[in-house]
Amino acid sequence: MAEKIAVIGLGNTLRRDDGIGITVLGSLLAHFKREGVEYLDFGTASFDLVYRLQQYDRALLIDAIDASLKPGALKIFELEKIKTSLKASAVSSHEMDLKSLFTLCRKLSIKTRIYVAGIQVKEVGYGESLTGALQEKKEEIVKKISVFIDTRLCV
Amino acid sequence: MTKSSNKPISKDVKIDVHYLTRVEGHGNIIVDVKEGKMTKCEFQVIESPRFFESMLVGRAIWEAQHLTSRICGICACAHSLVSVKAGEDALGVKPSDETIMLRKLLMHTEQMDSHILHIYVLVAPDLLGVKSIMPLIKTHKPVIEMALRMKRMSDYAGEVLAGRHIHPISYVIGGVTQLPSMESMEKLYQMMLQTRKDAEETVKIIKTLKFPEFQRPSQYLSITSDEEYAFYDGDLLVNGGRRTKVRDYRKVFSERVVDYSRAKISTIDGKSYAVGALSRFNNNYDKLHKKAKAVAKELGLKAPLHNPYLNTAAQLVEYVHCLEESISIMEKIRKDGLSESNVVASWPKRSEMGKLKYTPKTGVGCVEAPRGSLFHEYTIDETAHITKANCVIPTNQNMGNLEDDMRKLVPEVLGIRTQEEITLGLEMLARSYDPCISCATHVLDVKFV
Repeated sequence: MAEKIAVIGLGNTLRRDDGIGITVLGSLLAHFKREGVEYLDFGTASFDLVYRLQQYDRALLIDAIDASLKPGALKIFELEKIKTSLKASAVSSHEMDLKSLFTLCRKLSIKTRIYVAGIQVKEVGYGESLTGALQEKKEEIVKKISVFIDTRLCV
Repeated sequence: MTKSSNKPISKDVKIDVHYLTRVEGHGNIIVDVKEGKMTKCEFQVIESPRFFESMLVGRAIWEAQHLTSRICGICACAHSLVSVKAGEDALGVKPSDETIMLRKLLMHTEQMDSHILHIYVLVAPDLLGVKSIMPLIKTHKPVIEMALRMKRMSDYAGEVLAGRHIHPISYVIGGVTQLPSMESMEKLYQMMLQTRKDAEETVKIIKTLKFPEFQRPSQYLSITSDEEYAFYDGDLLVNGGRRTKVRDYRKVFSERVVDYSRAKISTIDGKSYAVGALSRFNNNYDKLHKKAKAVAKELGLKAPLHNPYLNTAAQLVEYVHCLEESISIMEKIRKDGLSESNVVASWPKRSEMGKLKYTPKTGVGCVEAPRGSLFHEYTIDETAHITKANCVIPTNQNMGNLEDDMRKLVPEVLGIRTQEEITLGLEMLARSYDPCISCATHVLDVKFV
C-alpha cells in the first residue's frame, strides 16, 4: 500500500512573517500540487496535529522559525534532530513547541516521520503581509520545498 | 518562569510568575505583600486582541469572518460566528432555521473541543501534581489517548461542518458556502455516539480529583434563553437579574484601560464579573440536558457556584450537555436532511463590493465562546465596508474577577501556606479561568547543533 504523506502549513497570517507557512502552502497547492499528497492548513492549531499526524507515514510541516539566520533562509530538517529552547513544562496548546509535539507523538507511540521546512522570520508583529525580505524569497522557498517533496518526502 | 522561594511564609510575599504556563498565550501574575499588607496584585496580559480590530476597518462586511476566524486557534468558530452575526445585524439579514441549527451544532462541537483540551491538558496536570501532560503519558497513557480521541471527534466536526477543523471558512453571512456531505455527517454521528462512553469515563476520573477550596461570590454574566442552554443566541443576564438585549451590551458593562496590562478591565456597576462555563452554569442550570444535570449531581455541583476553581468541573458538565444536544441535532438532520436552498448563502462578487448601496448601520453579535461571552460590533458605511470595529473578548472580561479572587485568596492563606504553595494556588486559579490571552505567533525557536 502506498505511503500516506501530508504537507502541513502552520502559522498565523495576521502576524506578518508568522504566516509564511500558510502562504507557502497556498503556492505549493496552486503551482506544485502532487497526487497522493494531502495539503493541510493547520493555522495556529498545533496541538490538534498530534492526532492528525498519526494518520500519515511521513509529514512535512512548513513553519516560521527563529534560528538567528538571515530573514527568508530556509532550513529543512527532521524534527527528531534539533534542539529547541522551550521547556517541557511550558506547554500551551496554542503555542505548543514542535519539539514538544514530537516528544508527545513518540511517547504515544506515533511513528510518523516528521520533517520541518523552517523559514527564518524577520518580523511577527500584527499585520497581514509578509515583510519585503520574505516576500522576495517566497518563490525560491516554494521551489526548494517542492523539490524536497518530490525527491525526499515522496520516495 | 516562576521566581519564588520555598521559605515558610511570614508577612511578606513576593510572587512574580513571568509567563504563566499552560494557558493560551502569555500572562504574568504579580503579587506583593509587605508586613501582611497587599501592595500589588496584578494579572498582566502581554498580548492584546485590540490590533485585530484595526485590521477589520476598511474591509467589506462579507470579508470580516475570514479575518476573525484567524484571530484564535482555539475558539475560531466562536469568532467566526459572532462576526457573521454582527454582519447580519448590520445588513438586516435573517438566516434560516436550518442555518441556525447548523451554527448551534458547530458551537457545541467547539465547546467540546476547547473544554476537553482545558480539562486534560491544562488543568489535569495541576490536580495530579505534575508540571505538564508529558509525565501523564507514562502514568495515564489510556486516559491521554482517550482525551485525544475525544478531541479528534470535535476536530472532525470542524472539518465536516466548517470546511476545516480550524479557522472555519464555510460559515458566512446568510448561511454556509456548501452543505456538508451526508456520508461525513454519518461518520461524525457515529463518532459522537462512541464519545458518550469516553465522556462517562471522564466524569469518573474528574470525580476522583480534588479541586482547591475557595469561595468568592461574584457577578456572573452570560447570555440566556427561554428555549435552551444558550451558546448561540439570547439576552444578557447577570446573576438572574434583569435581562438586557445584546445590542445594549455597553449598558451592562464598561471597559477601562489599565497601565500594567494590554487588556482592558471590564466592570459591571464598577465591580468585576466573571464569564465562562461557571457563569453559564449559574445562570442557565435549569436548561441543561438531563444527562448534564446528572453529571453535575455526581460531581456535587449545585448552582450557584462561587468557587472559580470549579469552572473546569462546569466545563465537564457543559461537555456532556453539548454532546447530547449535538447528537439530537444530528438525529434531526439524519431524519429530515438539509435543504441547500435554505442553507447555502450567496454574497456580492468582489467586483461588486463597494458599488452596491446599503444603509449605514452598526451591527452587534454575541455568542458564548468556550471561555465566555464574546462580542463583536461593526459599523458599516453605505458600501457595507467596516468603518469601526469593537471586539470584547471573554478573557479580558475575566481579568478583574481573577485579580479580585487573588486579592481574597492571598490573605486567607498567609501564614498557612509556603510561598511555593501560594504561587501554585494562584497559577491554578488563573488556569481555572482557561485564559486565552492572545492569539499569538508560534514561531519555533531553534538552535541548530
